[in-house]
Amino acid sequence: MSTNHNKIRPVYINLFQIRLPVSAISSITHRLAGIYIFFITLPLSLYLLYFSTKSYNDFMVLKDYLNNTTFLSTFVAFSFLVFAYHILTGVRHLLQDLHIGESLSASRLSSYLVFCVWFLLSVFVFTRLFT
Amino acid sequence: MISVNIYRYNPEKDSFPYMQTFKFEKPKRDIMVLELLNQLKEKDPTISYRRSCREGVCGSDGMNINGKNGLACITPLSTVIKKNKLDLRPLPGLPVVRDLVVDMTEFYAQYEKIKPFLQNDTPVDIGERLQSPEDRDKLDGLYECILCACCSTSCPSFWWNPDKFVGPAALLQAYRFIADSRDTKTAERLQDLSDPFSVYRCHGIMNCVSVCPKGLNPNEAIGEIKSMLLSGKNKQNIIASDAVS
Amino acid sequence: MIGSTLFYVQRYSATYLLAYTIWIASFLIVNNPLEYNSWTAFTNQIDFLVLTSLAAAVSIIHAFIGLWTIGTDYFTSRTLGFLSVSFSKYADTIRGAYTILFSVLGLSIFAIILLTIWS
Repeated sequence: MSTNHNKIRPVYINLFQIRLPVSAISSITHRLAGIYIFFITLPLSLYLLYFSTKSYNDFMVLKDYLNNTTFLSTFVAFSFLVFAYHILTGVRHLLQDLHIGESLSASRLSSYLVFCVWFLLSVFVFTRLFT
Repeated sequence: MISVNIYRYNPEKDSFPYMQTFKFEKPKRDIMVLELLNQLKEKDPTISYRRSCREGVCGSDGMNINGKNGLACITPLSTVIKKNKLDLRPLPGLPVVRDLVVDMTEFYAQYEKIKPFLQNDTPVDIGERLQSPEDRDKLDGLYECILCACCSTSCPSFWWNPDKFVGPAALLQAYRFIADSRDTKTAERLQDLSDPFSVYRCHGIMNCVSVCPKGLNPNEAIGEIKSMLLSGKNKQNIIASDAVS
Repeated sequence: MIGSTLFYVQRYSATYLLAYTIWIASFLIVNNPLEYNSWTAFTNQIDFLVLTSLAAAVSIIHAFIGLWTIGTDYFTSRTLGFLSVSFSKYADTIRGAYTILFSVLGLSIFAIILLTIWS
């Protein structure tokens, strides 16, 4: 068996095994949401803005697409929900910067609170979408 | 029977680390994880780990126990065992020297960087620098750190940039000296931390608080440092007494 | 000093964008279902044009700070080395390419928003 003399030392960093408390989940999802917003929600918003202000026909065509195409309406709804998630976790972050909710228990509570609020918002949006 | 999985790596024999499973009879009374390791070492003397005081004050036996960092000597088996399984791995993010022993060089380098010693050039008349009980209370929750590295090695920001982000342990100590009334170099200490990496990589993930075996809160200390940096305390003029000497 | 500058810019931009989002969202909620006339009237107002231009600039700055942080966290020789040793050699190149990508994308989005609303 080959030896590892003078080779680089291994590092243990398996993210699936290391226990991540709820604050850490909140933090990483905030970051992922931010990436999604920049690469998807923002261009999408631009697309919607462009066609909704271009002409009456374009506006109506767009409105028709959104109302009648399940895929597009779900995609748009989801993209804006991700935006809402980033805002909710962002507000939590801003409050912590102001020293509100900095203790471990407060931090856990606010993480769960944000998840609940976002979940309820998502349920509301999707029920309105499909009824 | 408990199944104990230990991270094994011997640079002289192995190319890659692997997990080794030991079957261990469930003890009649609750024991500490360190005690379990000592008994396993009697079976297999090649298992390597650091340990010293066995009472949670030296910080030698920090390791990742069933996913969470902690000190093996003060972690009762009953509090960590899950479905009769115990996974013991080295502290995350630091290079593994052998088995559960990690290379703490980067961790210590960051600690040195923050100048963990009192800086006061003013003359002392009576042989000691006096401090009121109120000022001494400000050091509670800061001085007790044993530098076990459980916090810094649980911090993702430290995993990605251990050379640039100072890390929760060293930042806690940095604040320990910033908050010390006997230290006169507050502005300089803050100035040394004012770049975008040293402190500002802390995003409030709070893994550090949840793993600290001494119950300390590095996140709170980092919050205080941030407040001081943001209010410009690093740009204040050197106090008059420094000019005396 | 630069650390606190980035910190403040990120937080102030976030607050402005929050306020802007609430403004737009409340208009859309009040005017639901959206009609062409009310939407055109709203988007042709001078305050919409100014505030949206500002929002575009501010969101690009906010995004750039966040994306730069991500680049310096994940696209480094150390972090890429955790994934694959062969990748880590190209860390600087990868980070450079990523920076160029998001900068170009960001500036294009900003330009297109301005062109769209002002014409």
